[in-house]
Amino acid sequence: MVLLVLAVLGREAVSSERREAKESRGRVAETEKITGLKLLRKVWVGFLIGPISGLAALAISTAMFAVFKDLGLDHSINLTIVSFAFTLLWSGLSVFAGFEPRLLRKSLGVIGLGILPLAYLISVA
Amino acid sequence: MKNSICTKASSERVQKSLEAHSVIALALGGLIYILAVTGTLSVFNHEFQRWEQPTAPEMSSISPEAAARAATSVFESEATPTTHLYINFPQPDLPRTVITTDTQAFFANSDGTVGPREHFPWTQFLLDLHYYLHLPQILGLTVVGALGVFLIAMSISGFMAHPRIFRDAFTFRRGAGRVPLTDLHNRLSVWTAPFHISNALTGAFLGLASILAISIASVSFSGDFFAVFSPVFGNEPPAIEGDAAIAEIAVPIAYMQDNYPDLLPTYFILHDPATAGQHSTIIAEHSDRLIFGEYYNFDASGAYQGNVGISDGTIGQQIIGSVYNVHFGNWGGLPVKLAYLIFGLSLSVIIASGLRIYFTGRREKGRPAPRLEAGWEAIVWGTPTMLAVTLLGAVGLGSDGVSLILIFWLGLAGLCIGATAIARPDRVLRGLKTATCLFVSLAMLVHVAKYIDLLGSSALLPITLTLLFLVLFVGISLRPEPLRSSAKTKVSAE
Repeated sequence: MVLLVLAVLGREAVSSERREAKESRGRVAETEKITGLKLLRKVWVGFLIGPISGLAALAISTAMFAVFKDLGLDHSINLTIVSFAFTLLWSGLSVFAGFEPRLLRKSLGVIGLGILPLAYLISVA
Repeated sequence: MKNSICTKASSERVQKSLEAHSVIALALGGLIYILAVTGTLSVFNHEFQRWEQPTAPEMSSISPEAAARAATSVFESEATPTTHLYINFPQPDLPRTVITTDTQAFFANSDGTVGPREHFPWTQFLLDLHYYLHLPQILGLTVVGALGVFLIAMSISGFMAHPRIFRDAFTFRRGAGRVPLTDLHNRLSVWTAPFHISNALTGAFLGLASILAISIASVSFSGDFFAVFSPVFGNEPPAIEGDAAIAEIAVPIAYMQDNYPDLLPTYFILHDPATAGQHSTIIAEHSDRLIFGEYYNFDASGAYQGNVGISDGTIGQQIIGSVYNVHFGNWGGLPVKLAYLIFGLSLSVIIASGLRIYFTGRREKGRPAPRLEAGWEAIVWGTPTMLAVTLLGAVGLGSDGVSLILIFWLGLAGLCIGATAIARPDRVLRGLKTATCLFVSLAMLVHVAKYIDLLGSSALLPITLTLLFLVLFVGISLRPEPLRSSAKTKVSAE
């Protein structure tokens, strides 16, 4: 809880800092609306970096396992590959979601990468 | 022109990478830091177990007959039959024999009589904090695994944000402010990268194994979770109802001693004891291998049934069998543990200094965030403080289980709230360093007073001396820093 409070305080500190910068440049109009949208954007980016990237990586890894299993790869080798792939994919997607400045592009990228293997798994089920 | 475009693109990449690095660090740095500190201490969990209960009977080995006698005595003393009966054999760093059931654990004496109850509440608290963050098991493992993922993500974004990080591998600029902190953060990150990346990767592997297995099982094995792991670790045959005399315990242990004298048995497991389907497994360590051990299976009469293949099976089995030891550093004795201590401390310093760079940068740009900075210091030094408080609680007041968990988390929460209210990071830092010294000293003194007769024993001395060294080290760091000349502080920002 405390860590959550600190995270919120941090977000507020960053928001207030940006708000002050904008005000100093004389852009005071519709500050509240912009701040609200920015906050929503930050929350969405947080979801993209965390659980959505994780779910996408999980879908890709599960589909990889199913494909490799169908190709006849040894079970334990298959499990080793997808276990490492899962962690690396999740961290890679998280970096991409934090790195890419365009919200639409990173949202489509992360969600699309999760939906494609899901669609494959549904089609073969 | 082309050069300037490349420079601009590189600068943009650095800026975007730094932003990704900061976002993850600001959101999750505290929890990752707690895992780094507790992980570093967990490497020495066997030493802490011995220190917490120094009066337990110790031995370098136990005869098969004595181990069987002790195990049978504990099994027969239970009102409700256990589903698994374990014998933990003496190890070089934990020279004790422990008989464990589903509900309790007792030490065994070398003559096969049952000794006192095993009780190491602080070490257990520490391990549960590192494994699960005190959350319910699968949820906790998954959260901890996810934090491992974000540590890898921070490593990737950190390296992307610093294109000259390897070229500057030997640069360290002294002075005040952000520059020496940045150099410390970057240099430690580069030099310990093989450790913290492999450790985060193996930690995430272990933590996320359950959730990945559930997903794979639902798609490829009709929801049979155990079908995912059984080709790697072997499968447990279905229980067969019906009473039987307890299976042979001494025979399998003697078989291992006679046929595999180079191996070091660590566990004996009797599955479904005193039932028609009972059978046993011995886990044995292979020297000079990274695997945690190999499973050797026996039937109820003690006849050898074969091994699972962790040591000589597929490459996948051998890699998966090595992940645990690579993560926890228990594969090369004391030198490897000491290396993990240094690397773990470095990782803790990297994480702590990372956010200090952020806050120092804000101060230098005239945009300080003192409440948040004080809150971060409360996490950085509140974590060891509260670990010391729980140690004192366990050693001095007999606190255990839930009470230690409440002391730690409520205490850390209180410290963070207090620190953000005070909004003086320097005061918080000094106050919590002093508190760490005070509580570690108190815990050490109480422990020494309780076990004064055993002070020179190998169970007590290493941890007591280490705690004393820790108090001295932190105490020395509390000395006021000499004033530096302004010329020295004028170093260019990286």
